[in-house]
Amino acid sequence: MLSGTDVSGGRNPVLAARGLVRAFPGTLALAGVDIELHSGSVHGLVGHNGAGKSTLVKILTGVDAPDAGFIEADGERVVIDGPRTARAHGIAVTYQDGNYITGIEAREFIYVGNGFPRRHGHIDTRRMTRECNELSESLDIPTWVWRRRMADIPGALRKMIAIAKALHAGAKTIILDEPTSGLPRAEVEEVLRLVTVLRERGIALLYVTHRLEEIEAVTDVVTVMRKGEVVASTPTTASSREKLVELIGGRTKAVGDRVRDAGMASDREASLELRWGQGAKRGFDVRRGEIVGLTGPDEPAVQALLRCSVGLAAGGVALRRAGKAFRPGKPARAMREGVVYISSDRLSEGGIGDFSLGRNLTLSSLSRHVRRGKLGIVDTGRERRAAKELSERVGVISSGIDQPFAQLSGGNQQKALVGRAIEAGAEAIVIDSPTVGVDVGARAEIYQLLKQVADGGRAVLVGSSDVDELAELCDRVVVLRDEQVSVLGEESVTREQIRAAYFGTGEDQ
Amino acid sequence: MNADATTIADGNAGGDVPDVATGGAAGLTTPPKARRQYGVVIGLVALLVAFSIAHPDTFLTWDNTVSILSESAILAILAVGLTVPLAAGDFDLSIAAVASLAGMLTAVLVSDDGWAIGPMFIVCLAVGLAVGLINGVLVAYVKINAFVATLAMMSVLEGVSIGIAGETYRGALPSNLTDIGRSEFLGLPVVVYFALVLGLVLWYVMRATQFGRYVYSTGSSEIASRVAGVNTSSVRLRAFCISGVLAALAGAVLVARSGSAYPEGAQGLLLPAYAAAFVGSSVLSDGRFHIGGTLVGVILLQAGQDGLIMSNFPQWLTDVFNGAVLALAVGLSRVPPGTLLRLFGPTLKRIRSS
Repeated sequence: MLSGTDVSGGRNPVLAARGLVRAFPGTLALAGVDIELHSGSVHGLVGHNGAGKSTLVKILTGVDAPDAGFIEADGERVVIDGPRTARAHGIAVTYQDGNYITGIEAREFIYVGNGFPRRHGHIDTRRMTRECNELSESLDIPTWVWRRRMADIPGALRKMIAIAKALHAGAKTIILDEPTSGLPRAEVEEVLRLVTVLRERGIALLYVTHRLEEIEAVTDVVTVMRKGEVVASTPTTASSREKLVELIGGRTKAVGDRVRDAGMASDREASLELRWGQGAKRGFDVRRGEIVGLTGPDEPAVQALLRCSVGLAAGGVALRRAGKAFRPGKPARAMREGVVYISSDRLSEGGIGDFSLGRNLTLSSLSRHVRRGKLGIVDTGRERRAAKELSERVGVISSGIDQPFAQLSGGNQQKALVGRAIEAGAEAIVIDSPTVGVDVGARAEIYQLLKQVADGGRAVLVGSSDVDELAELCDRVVVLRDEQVSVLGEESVTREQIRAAYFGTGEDQ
Repeated sequence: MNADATTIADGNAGGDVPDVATGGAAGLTTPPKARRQYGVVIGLVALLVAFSIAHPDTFLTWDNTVSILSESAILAILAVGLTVPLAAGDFDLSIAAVASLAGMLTAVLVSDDGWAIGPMFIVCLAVGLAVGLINGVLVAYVKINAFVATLAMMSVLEGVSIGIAGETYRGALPSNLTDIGRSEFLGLPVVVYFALVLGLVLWYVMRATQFGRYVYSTGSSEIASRVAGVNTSSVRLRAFCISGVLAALAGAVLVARSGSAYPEGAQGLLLPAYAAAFVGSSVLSDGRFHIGGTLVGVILLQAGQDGLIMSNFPQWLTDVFNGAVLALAVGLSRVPPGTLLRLFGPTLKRIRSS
């Protein structure tokens, strides 16, 4: 284990967290976290999803408040209770997905929220242009961007404009939350170059990322978080990718996983096949009776791929079901082909919250409970019997099938949605983050249920960013990283393999 | 997309797809149970009681009840039709214009062209269906916001009505038409039975059929219903067809009853129809739009208007009353219980002690 090292040189940190604790129902997101950000230094922050990174960022920027612990700015204890006070203390953040107002010009974006310069009661556009050109010069951003709408500016430049905005607002601390996520490699270089410019200008930076090569390239210090705790904080030069991967993962030995025989599914036919890219070169398949995990540092890309399988996202993905090409178009059509998608957002895209459990269970298969030849009139007796039987089969714990869906716990909602998919005749179930918001006990039950589903001859594709989940649940794991698709587990799959593919260790070194 | 009061308050009944990237821990928190206030219903009933006390010889009589029911029938046909797209999460602002057009068409076909009643009705219903189809395609397939699409449709139809009217007014329509509108059975106009039967049929459709179930699931969450394999576009399209056909029917019946037709003859029914549907949605504890509630809303609203006129309030106050009821029905459903007491409690106490 690496030890914490003082890299401050004795100066007060620009921004520091002291013993931050934050609890959510069922989880301790932060269990006493300390971190120090120093002027002219880039502080890397790595860890798995759920390690507590984003909670930490939210507290540092005043979006969330800690249950215990406090924040220091320039050695003084401060309370940051909102974006306004964060700005007053010189703290700025650029989020992963941007939150850009895309309908306005870049130069307007610089001033929105910080106040426009005024002259005789009007907005002083001349001063805006002058200041933007100054920003261009000091940060090496092309001047043509300023009069373009944000929507028409490429990703890396948008990120740079967001950073320029922070700098213009007088930020002393800039938090970059996965600044290169979703960017092509060439553009990543641009962002990294800007980070070094900021460091030279004496800004304190917190660099949150999944890409360890960027940690090596640009950070001075790196902090590793795991399950709400800081497990290491060390000068980057004193670490290595392998060490970091090990620290991020915690356990180095997989225990009690992969109960299913690896070779079992290899000779079976592919139930669902996804191919994309030029000449449909990239892709993978999910076989009958098999659970395949899908993961990768670019989560939106993973989610989009899952949604493509039922036509909820368009993305140039060629699909085959049982060897036959099909275009889903919309979920109803995919369902007829036997492909059912279960969203990670159970409340807004999963069940109908104000419908009862029973009506949710039968929603996808309601036509089977319609009386023959009678104008679509539902035989509620038969429907209720089917719902009751299904509810028991998938093990939903409820006060009865009349309980509103929204009142069920996350785990029971998930079981109900899997049950609904089975009842709809699913041959391939595509499920995104099956245990998000599910407590530990129910988690095991959901794994059990999904394994039963697969053992019944169905194919299951699981999207997840939880390595333990992937190792425990899946026969094979597909890792998407940049342009690369790694399929793990033709023989076996371990957490180390997943991590190595996820963080990109062992390649281009 | 919620088929509850928040929809109108947000001014957006379109099917917004949530951001793909936000797959947060939604399962951790259960949303607060939608709480409805019976405030508007109680208020209206209190108003009717007040009218009954103020005019014991005129308001609370069989004759006046018959009059209120007769006045309610046309609004009821319009409002129960409207309830279907509302339950599916969409606004239909074109219903009154459809009714006006159908009424004008009825008058022109029967009095100018001498059509028989049967074919005339069929043409009217076909026009209503066509409008519903266009609305539905624009909203559910072309994905134009329902508010905008049906507002545009409203203006188009008003223009067409004036166009076919030519000299803008048809009075003294032939008796074969007005006989239907004015005939009575067991002391009540036939149109009252007609509205009641239509209401019952629609109530059963919404309650017991697969289509009704899909309407409510779509209104509750369009995206969740789509993911569950419901063809939400088709559901929304069919909902617009129902409101279109029933609006046309209401327009034809209106003209058959009154014996005259104006190009914008039914425009005044748009707001009461919405007010009735929203009052009706507050009758059930979960705040759904439903046919029974809408019928209750229609009768409460009509009786309230009747009482206002009987109490010699000026005619214009009726419009103020309808508007206030609509705003209150939506507004009060968003106020948490207890707030009203906190707001008005001290005032009430002061009044009582003085």
